[in-house]
Amino acid sequence: MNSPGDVFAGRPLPRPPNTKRWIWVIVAILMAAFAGVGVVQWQQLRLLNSTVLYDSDNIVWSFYQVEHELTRLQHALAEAARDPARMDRETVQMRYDIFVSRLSHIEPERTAPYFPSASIQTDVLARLRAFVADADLHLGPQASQPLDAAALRWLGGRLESMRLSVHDLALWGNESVGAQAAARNAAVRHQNRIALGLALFQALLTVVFALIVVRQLRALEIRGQALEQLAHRLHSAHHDAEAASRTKTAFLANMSHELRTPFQGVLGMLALLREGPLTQEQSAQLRTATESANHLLALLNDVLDASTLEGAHLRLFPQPTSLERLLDEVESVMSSPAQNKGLELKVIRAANLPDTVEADAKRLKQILFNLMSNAVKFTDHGTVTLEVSVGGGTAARPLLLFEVRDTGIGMNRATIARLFQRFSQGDDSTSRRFGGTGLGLEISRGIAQLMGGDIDVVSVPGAGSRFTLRVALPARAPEALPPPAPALPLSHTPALRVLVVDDHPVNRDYMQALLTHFGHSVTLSANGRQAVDAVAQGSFDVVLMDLHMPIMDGFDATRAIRKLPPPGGRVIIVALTADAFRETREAAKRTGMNDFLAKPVQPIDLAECLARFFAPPAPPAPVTPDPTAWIDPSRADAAFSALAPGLHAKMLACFFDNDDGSAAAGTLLACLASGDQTRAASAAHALRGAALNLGLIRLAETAQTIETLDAADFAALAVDLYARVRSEMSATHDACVRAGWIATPAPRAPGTSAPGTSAPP
Amino acid sequence: MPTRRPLLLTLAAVALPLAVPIVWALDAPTGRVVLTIEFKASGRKVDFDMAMLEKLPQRSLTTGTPWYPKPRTFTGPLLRDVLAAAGASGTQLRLIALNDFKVGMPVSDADQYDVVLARLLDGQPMPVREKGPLFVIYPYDSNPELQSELFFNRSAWQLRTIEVQ
Repeated sequence: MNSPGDVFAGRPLPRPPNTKRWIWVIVAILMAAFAGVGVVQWQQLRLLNSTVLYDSDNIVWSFYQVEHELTRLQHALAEAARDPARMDRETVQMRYDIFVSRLSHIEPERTAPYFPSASIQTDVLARLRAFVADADLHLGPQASQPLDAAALRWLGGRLESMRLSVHDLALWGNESVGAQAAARNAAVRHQNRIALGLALFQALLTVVFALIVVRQLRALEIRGQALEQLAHRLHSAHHDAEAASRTKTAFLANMSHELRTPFQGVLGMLALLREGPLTQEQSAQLRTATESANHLLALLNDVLDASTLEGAHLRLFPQPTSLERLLDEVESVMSSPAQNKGLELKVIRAANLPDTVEADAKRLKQILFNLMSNAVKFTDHGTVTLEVSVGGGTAARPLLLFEVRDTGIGMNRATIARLFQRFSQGDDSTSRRFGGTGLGLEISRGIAQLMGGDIDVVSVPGAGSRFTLRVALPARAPEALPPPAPALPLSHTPALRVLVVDDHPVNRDYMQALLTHFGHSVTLSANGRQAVDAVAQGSFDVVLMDLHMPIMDGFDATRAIRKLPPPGGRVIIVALTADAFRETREAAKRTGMNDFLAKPVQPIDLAECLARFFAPPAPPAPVTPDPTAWIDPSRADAAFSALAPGLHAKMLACFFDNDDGSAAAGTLLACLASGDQTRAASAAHALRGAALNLGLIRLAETAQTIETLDAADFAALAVDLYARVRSEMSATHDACVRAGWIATPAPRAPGTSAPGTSAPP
Repeated sequence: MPTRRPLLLTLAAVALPLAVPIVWALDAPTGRVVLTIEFKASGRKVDFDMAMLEKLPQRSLTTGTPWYPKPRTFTGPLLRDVLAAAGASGTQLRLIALNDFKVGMPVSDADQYDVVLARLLDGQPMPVREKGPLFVIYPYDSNPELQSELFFNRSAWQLRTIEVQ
């Protein structure tokens, strides 16, 4: 398996090139290049415009026009001078005006935009203007002197003297325009070169840009592939880790499971040992051993619960359950430890609670016991309250809130954060002070979540805690409740011939001891093969068959037995197995087994199982009357009306007489005193049956509570229950006296010896 | 009959756009001839003196030109009215200036643009030495396409003769 470190140990991921900055640089350069191209093109447009203006004015043409008009005026003057008397004055005037109109076109302010002025231009223009000033005396708008022959000759001479200068001026203009045009062309070429360069630069940048984009895309692609590989490696690492975790969980479950079986043997043997004659010292040692074993078993049960929860193997068996009865039971169980610590215990039921809900009562009680035991454990004075209310949901499926409040030491934030984690307790100091596996809350929350609910907690250090179980449970009509289990006195089962098949010697011995105690005769087999042979040869009433054995397992043995001829082939076969999964149960049924007992086998379960096959069914019990009453005459009447009068009183007297060591109440008290749960459960069962028949309903209820306690609760509550059974015996006796059922005013209280010091004689 | 004249005028006004070309009853020039319109095909000549041009509807146009640093106001008859007054029908004109400058112009220019045959510059007659007496002016400022060498060249100044072809 890869360790998580391996996942990252490979080639480091390619980093994406730091291109963001480069892209911005390129964008900036491109913008600058575009701006440059814009400037160049704008300048070109300006040059073009100036060329157009140049063309429009055609400066060179203007210079030559001046020279041309000068010549034409010269001719006109010469023509006129030839015969002044008959000269065409109008023609001369027009030629002069046209000549003058031309002069403004070669002034420096007109030519300045196209080429710089020069001295030749100003000099020649000055001479021309001077000529016009003189000529205007004869030809101007306000002519003051006649245009006679002399004036004509003088003007012609003046023109002739300027002709060459004007010609030079025209040539100079031509030259200047040419030079200007050449400069302009050079500028255009220069601009063109710049524009071309910029265009090439732009093209280059575009190529670079494209290359970067391509590189970036490739880097992204490579990175994507690397990420995909990494995700794949992480996925498989995660898968491996989960598999390892599952394996460990399964191992833990198996181990605690395997540990439970021999442990059950130890407990059974301890119980049987107590039956024998013991010294007081041995009895005390035995009790200590039993308590330790019970505690260890409770721890194992916790571990098993936690691992089955984690492996999602834990199943709920919901069935109609009376909420009222369930809460009564929780209250009655918890009242003793609470009283013991001087705490007030309150159970508050909202008025709108449904009577009956569909729930796995055993698991629901487990949660409530856990929460309330914690509350009691961590509270030194004050009150522990269980308040049950409806917090929403629908009428068909109300959301029930079970709120357990205490006034104990409370928890800080860090503690709460660790609270539901495995093996964690408040902190190391509380762990040392209060003990426990630390699995209780995890299991409780796991069960709550399995039920579709959850547990949350609010706590203030020093002020107490509030745990709330929220779970929506389907409401049921009260008629759906199964009738209370009929009391089956163990003695009703006749002596049976039992074949016990188990590969584990401890288990075999335990079963043998138990069955012998019940008065049955026992034969032992170590595997399926031996069992088939035994059934073929002997005759048995019932076979208790372990499922997992070497050589031949329980399934194969059952099939082989079922092929035997009667009566062997029809023997009752009860499967014994430690895995309580439904699949196993169904497989056992399919194979041909008649019933199923989960290991560790509780004596009461075994007795009930045997009774199912070999005792006549008891009549269904009537409805439970008012639970506050100590006794219920109707029940007593139902049981005794058909019998001899006075029998009821006689049996009641016998019930309250402690001299008979086998009397159920005495045995129960002894077991409570010694902390022997197995026997206590069995005695409580017997007590319950007897009490119910006699109409002593409160005692029957208490007995049932004791009977259904699990090992951990039993260990915690045994001392309190001892006191409670004693006080209830006394109170019930008083009630019987008041009802006139018995006459004796002062019976001897059973179990007068102090807890822990007595053993049945 | 006092009622017939307005009726005729109305009819004339309605028919006016349809009558092409409109021939104005021309007086013979009494002053100095400033413009001659010559018909190449017939050899006919129509002379105008300044008074005849003044009688035609006048148009004032203020526009920038390449020849003056600032926009100036030119006033005179529209070229197309002058041509119509001369009864001209043709497609191509040839403008000839006093200094023998010659340039061609399609008749369509006169129809398409309000080409003014300017005789006043800022309200004053233009002497020859100031590009007068007649100056062909296009409305350059209101038509950007006119601001080109082609139209500047057609804008003959010191105009003397228009040949109609």
